[in-house]
Amino acid sequence: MRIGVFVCHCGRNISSTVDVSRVVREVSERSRKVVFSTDYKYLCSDPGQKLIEEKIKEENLDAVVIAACSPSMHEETFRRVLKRAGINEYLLEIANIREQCSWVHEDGTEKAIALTLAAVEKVSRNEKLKPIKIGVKRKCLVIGGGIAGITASLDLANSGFEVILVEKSPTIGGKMAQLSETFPTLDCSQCILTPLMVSLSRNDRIKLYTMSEVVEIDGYVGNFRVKIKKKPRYVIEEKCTVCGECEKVCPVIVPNEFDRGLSYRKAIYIPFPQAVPSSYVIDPNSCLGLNPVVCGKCKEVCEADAIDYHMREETIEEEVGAIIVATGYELFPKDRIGEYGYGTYEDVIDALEFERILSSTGPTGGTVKRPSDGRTPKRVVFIQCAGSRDENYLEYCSKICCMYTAKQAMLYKHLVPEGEAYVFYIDVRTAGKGYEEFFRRVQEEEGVIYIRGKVSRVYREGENLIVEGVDTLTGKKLTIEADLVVLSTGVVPPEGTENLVSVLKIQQDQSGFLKEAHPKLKPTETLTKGIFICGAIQGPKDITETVSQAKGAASAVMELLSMGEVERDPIVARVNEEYCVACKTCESLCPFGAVKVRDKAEVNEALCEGCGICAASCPTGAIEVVNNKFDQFEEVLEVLINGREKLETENSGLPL
Amino acid sequence: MKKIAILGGASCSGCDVALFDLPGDELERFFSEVEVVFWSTTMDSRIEDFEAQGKIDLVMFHGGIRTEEHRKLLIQAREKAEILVALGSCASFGGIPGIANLFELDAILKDIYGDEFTKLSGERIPKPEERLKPISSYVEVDYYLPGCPPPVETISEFLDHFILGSLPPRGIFGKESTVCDECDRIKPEDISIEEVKRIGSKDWSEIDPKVCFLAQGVVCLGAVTRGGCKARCINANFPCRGCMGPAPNIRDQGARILSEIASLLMKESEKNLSDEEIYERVQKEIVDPVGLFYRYTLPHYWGGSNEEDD
Repeated sequence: MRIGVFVCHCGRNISSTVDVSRVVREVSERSRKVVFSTDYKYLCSDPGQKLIEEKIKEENLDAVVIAACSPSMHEETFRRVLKRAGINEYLLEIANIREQCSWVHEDGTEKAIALTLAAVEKVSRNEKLKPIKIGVKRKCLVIGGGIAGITASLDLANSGFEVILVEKSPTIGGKMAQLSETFPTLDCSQCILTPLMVSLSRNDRIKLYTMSEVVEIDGYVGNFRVKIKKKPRYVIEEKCTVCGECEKVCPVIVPNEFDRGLSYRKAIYIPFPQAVPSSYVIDPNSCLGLNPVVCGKCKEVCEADAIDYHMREETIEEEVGAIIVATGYELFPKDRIGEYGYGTYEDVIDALEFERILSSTGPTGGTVKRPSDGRTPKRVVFIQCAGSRDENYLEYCSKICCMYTAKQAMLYKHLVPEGEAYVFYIDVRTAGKGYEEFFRRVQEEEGVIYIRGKVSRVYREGENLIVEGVDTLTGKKLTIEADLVVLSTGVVPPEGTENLVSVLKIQQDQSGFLKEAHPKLKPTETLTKGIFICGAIQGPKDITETVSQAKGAASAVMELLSMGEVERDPIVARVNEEYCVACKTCESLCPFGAVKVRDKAEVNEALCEGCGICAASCPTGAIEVVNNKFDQFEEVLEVLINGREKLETENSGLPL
Repeated sequence: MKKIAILGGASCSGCDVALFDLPGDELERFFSEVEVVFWSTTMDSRIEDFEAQGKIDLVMFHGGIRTEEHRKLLIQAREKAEILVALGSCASFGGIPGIANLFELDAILKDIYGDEFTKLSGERIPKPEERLKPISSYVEVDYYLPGCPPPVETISEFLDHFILGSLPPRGIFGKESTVCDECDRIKPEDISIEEVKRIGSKDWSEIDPKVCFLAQGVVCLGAVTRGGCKARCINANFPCRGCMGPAPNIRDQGARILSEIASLLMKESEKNLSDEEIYERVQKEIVDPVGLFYRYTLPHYWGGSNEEDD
């Protein structure tokens, strides 16, 4: 085998602590397997790639070692170079002399030589391989029916792909359906959302499962098998005409979660008039009639005969090629910030509650009234960063609070022109198109008073609330008597995210949001191929950004599904049947269900991720990962320990 | 007539006894077709008799090299032997006496002889080597017949070939298979070891003699051990302890089984344990890991704490 070594300077990233020319010289000297070695400033650049291609041809190389950055950066790039040069792309090894060497050592030359020689040893025992091709199901699962899930589903369906949309609650629409108006244009949130919901419900390519959750997923990119658990609605969607007669006769009254408990609903209810699917639903926790002996009033009056108390939970199985997770966010549980008095005082509310109060379809019918006595508040204090940017609660900035607070303050002033609005803030962050202009208007035209500082305490005196804080610009202590206090609460991942993560085998970041494959370049992908993320579950973001990201995720899915097949790395486990004793250790341990033992172990190459757990646990060494075999690692270790390749005259030990 | 000598080093003489396990007619044939020139266990042979011999067609050496005397005897054996055989696990890998390599020689001597050793040494006790080693550490070996003791069928087969002059190429004379291949126990679909059961422990009676030991939490080295023994221990409801040495295709017998057991141990419950808790549990579950995983092979893989040349 003729092996060529190419060492990258990576500008000064590598060459500042590694003597690159010495690496080039010594790998040739210390290993007889290396027939050519050279260096270049940026191997990943176009001229760098051309150089490799030319040298492969000129020197008649059939295997290549690139000593550069991590293989996760450019292995693909260099594989393509080998392919272009006409040699097998799996006769390539990357020696990571940047992340694992130059960046962490003051003088990494000796280690860089060892790493490169080790890669030479490894590549000299690599097999020529061909990528594995697998067909894909032209169908996508979207989890979460908020604006992110709706956008992604519509984009995919309109491009000709089948979509399964799974939503936990009885209707799609998510948080956006609860909002009053959106910044910075003051579009009515429901007015722009509901047409999308309707067109989704009418789209034949989208199958919608509400009151459903994904409970199990197996398979792999292009071929996922999904188990969905659908809770009973007790109302047959297709039959319900939304006449509302059932609601009138229902005797049970409970707080309405759509209005954040600021109004009441019956045990049979529709979350809001434009809900999709357009159907009533029975809340089994409060309904008396699931035992019809006690109450059956709704069933009696239902002319459409849509009510079925005997509906059962269903498990639905679907096969899809890709998955988009768009499960959104929740507000930080503000009762955890005790000093602001939430939960103690009715007139301390969170931002989403205030959205409902401001909404023309909300519990107060579009007039501003405070919860305790229904009076119109004459003075409202907003407290920004309630939970966010606070080492006791959330370290991160929730990003949307500054803007929604400004909007809410403006809407309040529009509805109560004689009222006063105060905003306590740490910083006001208005990065976004038209956002800063909007904020200026709120301050200058609407006369909302911004106070830089934190609130230390909220307490009640008489009918009103006293907000104590400090204006850090003047250094003065402030006491404001307010009728209503609105907490601009931060954004957190929704409950159940941990569970979803373990079902999907994807990762969370340190704040609990879902982790993207690369923060800059792969913001909608996860490290599990075929699973994508978008919207606030990836991190706090507003509607504009959510929609853009949802479209991005949808387009990434289209790219995957429209190819009809996906290529997979052929770095998979392989069984040497001669040595297999069918002990079933591999089958017991394989996390992907890729190994089955009949007479001997058999590997399903489409399922195998090449993780090597089977190889490590196989007692007889019968199962190994292609191009990652034990003998390869033995030689690699030899080189790493001795700093040179093993001479043939050296005995490897006892003659056994 | 072909000449044979049987002698040994640090050995329990179990290998000698194994020769006597040959069926009567075979034993008779053996003695009638070869001339046994030295076999101190069974005959009135003295070392001088051995030294007086010229070339010997077959020398079977059992036991590892513990003392200077063993070493000298082995070197003579090599000089005289047309064919030198490492008979049994001790000669092949060091065997059970090799576990002593975990300790420094001084500590071993002090433990056995107290302060008396200096007085005794050189006169009545042969000078010990720093570490016990398999015979291949000193001389070239033609055939290995591993096992503690080697299966009688293997010995018989080997002697047949020797007499007929039809021996295969040099190396391990044995089966290219594992003990698992010869074991009839049922292997369950899903294996996970929550608790390691020790031989003779109080729940030992619960062990199902039809089901794989490992799946029941008993450390059994069958999968990593060369076959040929017809799983004789397992059939007596006793797990394999690896006396036949590493199975074909395996470099390190102990490391292999350790890696398998580490993968299977607490497969489900480890997710909820911290690293420290796992470490504690493993220490509790696996008592004497070296004795368990390298019972017969320690010197073959590891010379000792002060080994420099390995």
